[in-house]
Amino acid sequence: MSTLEILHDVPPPPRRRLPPWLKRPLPAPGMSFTSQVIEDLRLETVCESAKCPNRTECWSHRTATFMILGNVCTRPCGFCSVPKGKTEVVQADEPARVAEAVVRLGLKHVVITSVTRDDLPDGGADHFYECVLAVRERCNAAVEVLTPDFLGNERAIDRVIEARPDVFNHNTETVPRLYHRVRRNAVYQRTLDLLARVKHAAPEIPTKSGLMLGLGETEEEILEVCADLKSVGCEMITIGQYLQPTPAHLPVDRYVPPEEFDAIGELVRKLGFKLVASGPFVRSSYHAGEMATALA
Amino acid sequence: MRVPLTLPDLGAGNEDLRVSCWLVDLGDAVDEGDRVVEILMDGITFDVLAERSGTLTRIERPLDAVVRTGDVLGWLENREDSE
Repeated sequence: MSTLEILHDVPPPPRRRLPPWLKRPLPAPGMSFTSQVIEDLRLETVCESAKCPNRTECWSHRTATFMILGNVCTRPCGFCSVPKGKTEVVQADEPARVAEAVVRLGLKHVVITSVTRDDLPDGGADHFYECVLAVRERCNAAVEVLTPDFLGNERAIDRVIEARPDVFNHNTETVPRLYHRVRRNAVYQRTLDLLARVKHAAPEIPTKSGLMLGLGETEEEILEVCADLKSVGCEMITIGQYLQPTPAHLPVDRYVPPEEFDAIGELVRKLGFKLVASGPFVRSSYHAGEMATALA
Repeated sequence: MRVPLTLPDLGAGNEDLRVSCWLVDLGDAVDEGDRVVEILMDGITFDVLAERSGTLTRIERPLDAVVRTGDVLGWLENREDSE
């Protein structure tokens, strides 16, 4: 038997089965309504683009996280499946369409995030401002922004603050040691500085950040990051499991069991955060409304 | 009477779905609501449940098969018919 024949006879390695706690409920009827609203209004969601595991649950309950400034990102983050490449034209009517979606879905709390637009002079900050105001003109929904780092552009950060969002969220994503692999083109200190600037400029706006586990971090590193976030006034933190969106993205180093998420959550709470959400399916905007309400 | 075990709409759009685990074996009896087959999508799994009680008599989509909404994954035979 030749080497080629032997290789053909070698079966592929068995797929690693996911741990049993990574199960989601089947979608409920409300999902198609949410899907239709998003399609009708030509909106992007991070739910779809980033392959959020909670999409079926959230959309079934008529909630979604809108992603503005197009569906193409300027950062090559190893964990994220949002497309990279040639960016899209910023659409002037997008704020109005986001606001319309909030009204149609009857949202009491909406999270607005974006791709990172390093190609724009203000990183898209003014568009965030317009989206927050557009929602406020149409309804009383609380507006949470989940922003990129704007390359540390202070005027851009201030422009978003000027909109007075109800929550200002910016994700740390991982520990500093892994930034070069997980969050290329981002700088850990820049993330802390952004959150510090928001807290200094507008102490009344709650700040929030998120972390992923399962990329190779240690518990000690996670707690150090959380301590750093606490030191810049961050009040809320979300900690969830990294899931590899496609085979082209970073592999999962470890599936952290739910009880370990609980234990980490308890340790982080002791640092003094007002709210900590820690679990395999916790994401930045998962049950964001409930978190914000609990904080009030 | 044979009843198809059909993949419901998981909101996957054009995403690949795969059979990641048959939770029962051919010939096993299941009750309505029992988990029968696990489907993998984007790093999470869903369990397809038996809509009626019966015996799993045929698997149409084996482990690792790519599946789409509406696909018949297998067949359940009503218990009265199979006795």
